[in-house]
Amino acid sequence: MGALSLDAIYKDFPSHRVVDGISLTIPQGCFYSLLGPSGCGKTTTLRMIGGFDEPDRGTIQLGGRTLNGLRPYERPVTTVFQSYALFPHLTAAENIAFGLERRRDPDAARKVQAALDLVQLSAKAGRLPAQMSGGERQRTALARALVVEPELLLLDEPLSALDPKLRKQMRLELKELQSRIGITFLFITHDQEEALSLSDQIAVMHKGRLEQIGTPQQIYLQPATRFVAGFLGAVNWVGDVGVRPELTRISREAPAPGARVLEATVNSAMFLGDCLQVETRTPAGDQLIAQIAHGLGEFRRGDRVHVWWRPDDEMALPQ
Amino acid sequence: MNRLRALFLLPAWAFTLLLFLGPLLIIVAYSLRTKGVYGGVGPPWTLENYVRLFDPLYGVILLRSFLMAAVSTLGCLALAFPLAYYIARSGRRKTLLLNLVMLPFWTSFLVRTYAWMFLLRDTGLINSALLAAGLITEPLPLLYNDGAVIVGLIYGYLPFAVLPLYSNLERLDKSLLEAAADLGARPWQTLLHIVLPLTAPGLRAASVLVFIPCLGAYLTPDLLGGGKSMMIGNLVQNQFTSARDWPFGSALSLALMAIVMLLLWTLLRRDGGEML
Repeated sequence: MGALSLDAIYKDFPSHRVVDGISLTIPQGCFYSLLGPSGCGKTTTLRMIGGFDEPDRGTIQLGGRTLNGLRPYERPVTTVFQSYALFPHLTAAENIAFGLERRRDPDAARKVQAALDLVQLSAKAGRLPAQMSGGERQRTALARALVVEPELLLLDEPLSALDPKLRKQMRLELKELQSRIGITFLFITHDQEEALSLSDQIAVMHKGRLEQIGTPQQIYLQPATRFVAGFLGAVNWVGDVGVRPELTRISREAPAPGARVLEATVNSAMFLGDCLQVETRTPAGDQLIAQIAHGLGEFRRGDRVHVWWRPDDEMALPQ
Repeated sequence: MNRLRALFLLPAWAFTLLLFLGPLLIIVAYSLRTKGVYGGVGPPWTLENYVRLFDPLYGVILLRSFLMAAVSTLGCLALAFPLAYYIARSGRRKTLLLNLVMLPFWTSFLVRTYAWMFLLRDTGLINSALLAAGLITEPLPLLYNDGAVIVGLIYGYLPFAVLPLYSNLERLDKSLLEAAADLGARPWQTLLHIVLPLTAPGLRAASVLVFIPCLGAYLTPDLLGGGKSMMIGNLVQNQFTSARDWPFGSALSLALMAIVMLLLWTLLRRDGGEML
């Protein structure tokens, strides 16, 4: 067991460079997310760690051992695939037993049962994938990858095929499971909310490069680039300064001194359930959105207002 | 609308009834008659022809036919599986490769079987080449034996094995192979535990499509076996020609048909009828 490190990884596809010099280190036992839009190279990075693709340049090491050139079946790494890739002719229990059987594990029967218990699927052990719900398939895939006790678990957007409600529940289960078993998770996602809520560390990827590595708080509150700021959530931009809508305040009266203030006109006010979203425009033409709690006033189109925020809440990111 | 549909279906029904069911009924009738002196059939009605089927002599020929067809089917599967796998994985060249597999159908089966004679006979291409190279001093006995018949049958029915296997392998999700490798399966273990079980329907379809025509083959054993390698198809042919025993020939062909249908029924039942 040990840390995973990627050192200057490059991968070209015939038409373009997919991974453009990625270096990162994932400490053992970490829940690490690789976050980025589709086509940013995150899946290719994962496939190179799993052994399905080879990097053109750069080294991949796990616990000091170089993985380059090893076949997928030679690596102490398993994957939860986006489509789960469950074997359709095998039951949940047989799918989970597959890796143990390849290793001729004498303790396979007990481990399969323990893995079924771990993901609460004991009652569905005899079901074929076609007879399972999306959540059950997802849990089977997870158990199948975990039961062989990998040093590193790769998860390729494992929640994206689930409906939104189930996705939130599985998110909790996944986080809880990871902290219980302590295996390093490398989680690939394009969903910033997923990455923020699950991860110890997040690496944001864009066009084959890493934009920023940090904790969820660092990534969200102190983005290193405009791309990171924008990818993790909405931003009001005023010149080189950005501020998040939920940290943007709005009032008819001028705020107390010390705040950054702009005068603006209300364009629209929209009730979003958990907040009121007020869209305003400054005389200079900047569009500023404020998401405010209910009871902080009512605003109508054409109202002249003060839009303001605390200097601590602003992100200075030159274009 | 229904009347229109019936109108369009009429030719197909007429064709099937007149030209398929009709001859079949005639064969059934013949098989229950007694042979005429110069061929043809005559009275009285009898079951004698069916009793004769159980003569050990014919049993041996039937058994031989089964064996030859089984060996040819296995040969076809062994060649077709890697070929179909390769084609299913070859991206944009798929269509070209599939067309190449079908290419032999553009020429008559008879002509192609004769071509094999030119290859295999004592003065044929293979023996001439080996003699010229000094590898042998006498021509190898390549033609007019069971081996030649099996080679001819494998050659003739290979495309029928490639196509169903291809359509099965083409649908095989590549991520399943990656998942197997990811979990520690070496390539041969993936083949054994994942690919083969998932292509079982294709393997069954290919087996049926090759085995049935091989079992009833008469042209290939006749030309490449040279009469020394008799299969049930040749036996039927003999009864209608040199033996001039049409009733027994009819009984034989009906027995062959019954065996084939039994086989098909067993296999189709297993796949829920969607195999073909």
